[in-house]
Amino acid sequence: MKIYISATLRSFFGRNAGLEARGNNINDILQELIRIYPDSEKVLKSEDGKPAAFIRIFAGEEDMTDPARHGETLKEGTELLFLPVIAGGSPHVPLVSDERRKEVNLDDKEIERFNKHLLLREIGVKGQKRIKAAKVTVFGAGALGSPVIQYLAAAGVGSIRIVDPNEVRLEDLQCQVLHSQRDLKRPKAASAKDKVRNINRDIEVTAENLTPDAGNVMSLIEGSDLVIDCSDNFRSRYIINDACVLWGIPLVFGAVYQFEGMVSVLNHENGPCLRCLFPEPPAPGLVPTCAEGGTISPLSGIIGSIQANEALKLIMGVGETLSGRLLRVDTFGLRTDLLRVKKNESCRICSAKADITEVEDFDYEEFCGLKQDENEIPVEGFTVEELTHRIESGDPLTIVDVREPHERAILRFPGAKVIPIGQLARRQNELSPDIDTVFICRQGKRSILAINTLREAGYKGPMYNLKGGMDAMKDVIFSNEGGWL
Amino acid sequence: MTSGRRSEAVAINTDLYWQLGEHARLSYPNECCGILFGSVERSDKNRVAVVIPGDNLREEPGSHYGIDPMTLYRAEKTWAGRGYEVIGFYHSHPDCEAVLSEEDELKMVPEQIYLILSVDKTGCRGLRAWRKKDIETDAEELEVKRA
Repeated sequence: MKIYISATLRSFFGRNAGLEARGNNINDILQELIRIYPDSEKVLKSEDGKPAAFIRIFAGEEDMTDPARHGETLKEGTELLFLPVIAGGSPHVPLVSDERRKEVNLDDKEIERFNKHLLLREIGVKGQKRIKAAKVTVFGAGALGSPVIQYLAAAGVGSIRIVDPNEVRLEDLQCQVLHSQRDLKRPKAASAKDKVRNINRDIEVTAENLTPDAGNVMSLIEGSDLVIDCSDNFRSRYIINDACVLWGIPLVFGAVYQFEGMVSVLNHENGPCLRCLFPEPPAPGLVPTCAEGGTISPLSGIIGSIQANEALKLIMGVGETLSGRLLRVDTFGLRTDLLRVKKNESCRICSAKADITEVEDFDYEEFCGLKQDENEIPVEGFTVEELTHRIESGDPLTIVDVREPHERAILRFPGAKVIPIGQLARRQNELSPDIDTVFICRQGKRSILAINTLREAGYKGPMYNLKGGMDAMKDVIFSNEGGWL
Repeated sequence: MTSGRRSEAVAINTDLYWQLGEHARLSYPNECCGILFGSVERSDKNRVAVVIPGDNLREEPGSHYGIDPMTLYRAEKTWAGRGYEVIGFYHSHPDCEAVLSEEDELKMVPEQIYLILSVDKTGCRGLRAWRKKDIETDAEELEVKRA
């Protein structure tokens, strides 16, 4: 059988280009070659008996490298070719460089503490040092922030900045496992900082009790290797994304709603940013935040844990990440989808055609094209006190509850007429135009939508909105109704 | 080199260097790849004499490269008659440093020179050379001489 050896492999075959070997299948020929050229054994049959990763064996034009085919009888006159693989892939460059890794050391305590990381070949001492040298900013110390902050701290991330403007409320404890009952009414950022220090005192942790805006976001992320978005509203998400793109800092994005969550790695290795995926946020009020729409307790634990896992891989430059991919998890049907997401070549901030050059403190409502028309009649509203007074004084008043059935089940408004927004126009004759009508919803936003809907439908009676909705109402009356679980 | 150990170097002339850079730039954001030949007569395995661009056949050409081995076979036959022999390969890393990735190192053929170009949207940003002496040894960096 005629054999051709590529010039790149000849050193293993006594520098010969063309050879003859006896045998009519590849197994026999390999044995014969190894007998004549013992050096070739490590190429033809490496450790596990397979050809080395860099070699291909062709019979004529056909790739016969797979050992399963080595027993096949070869046609008379076939030339057997031994060629190299010419292939490779881009490296994942760790977010923490070699220089910075070399500047940190692990002491005996840390070697004990991080033993389970050190045992992993993909992490080892080098990876753990990168984690220790890393600086990460986490926006949001709520549902997603809870697992993210705890796992970053447990994994040994050296410097963590936590940004959250809110205080811990009772209803947060259902899914925000970072906080406990004793933290009620404390700023979440401070509570989170305490938890990090309980896990590991050596971590440099800063708490910022702030809402990210155009004025502060650049300084909040400056110097960070990585930013993790655990916020729960579109305004923050776009501000954080824009700042990360402008600073060139990768972003681990996560979001949860009811039973569904999504995670992605944005602005990394020339991948897409948030605006590539979602050029514009949905209109305000259309998509409830999880504070309004609800979320099942462990969902944020699942999504946040994936965010923390992605963060560690990015810091070390190992494994496959969600850059250019969006993972969607449905915990109700227990399904996951991995969607490929592409960079938008006309993205307003990260493409060659970008026209946004600084973080703008954009008006969310204007951004969505929903800013109230100047000519539009403004909606009048009652405060909780004004409404209470009206009810107590016995004035004639129609109260319309536009909330969804499951919201009403939590807390009913006694004596209110129930009309979902979708039916208002059709059922307007149930309202009396001579009597003041007050519309209520959970937060006083959908009720404005309800009033505008009726106006468009031609309803002429006086209409008012309950400012702050049922949320504002709950501390004033109904306290004996329970319900706010 | 500053260390006492003499480091081996790869030599490439300015024209060929420019040719590699252009291939990387024009292929961006995908990886480019190709084959390097040296002259048998000069018996200098460390001087690039001919550059043959290859087609990147990988499904994700932005982060991987792969040339059909049969392309190499034909190129070897063609150029052997003119007195040239393969001395290595080149490829580019778009928006990435010119260092070996795990896959690059796994698939390195011992003794061959691997030139890696770092390229971004503005053009070629650098060239580095790597070689693995033997199957068991780690790859090491070679100096690149532009002459």
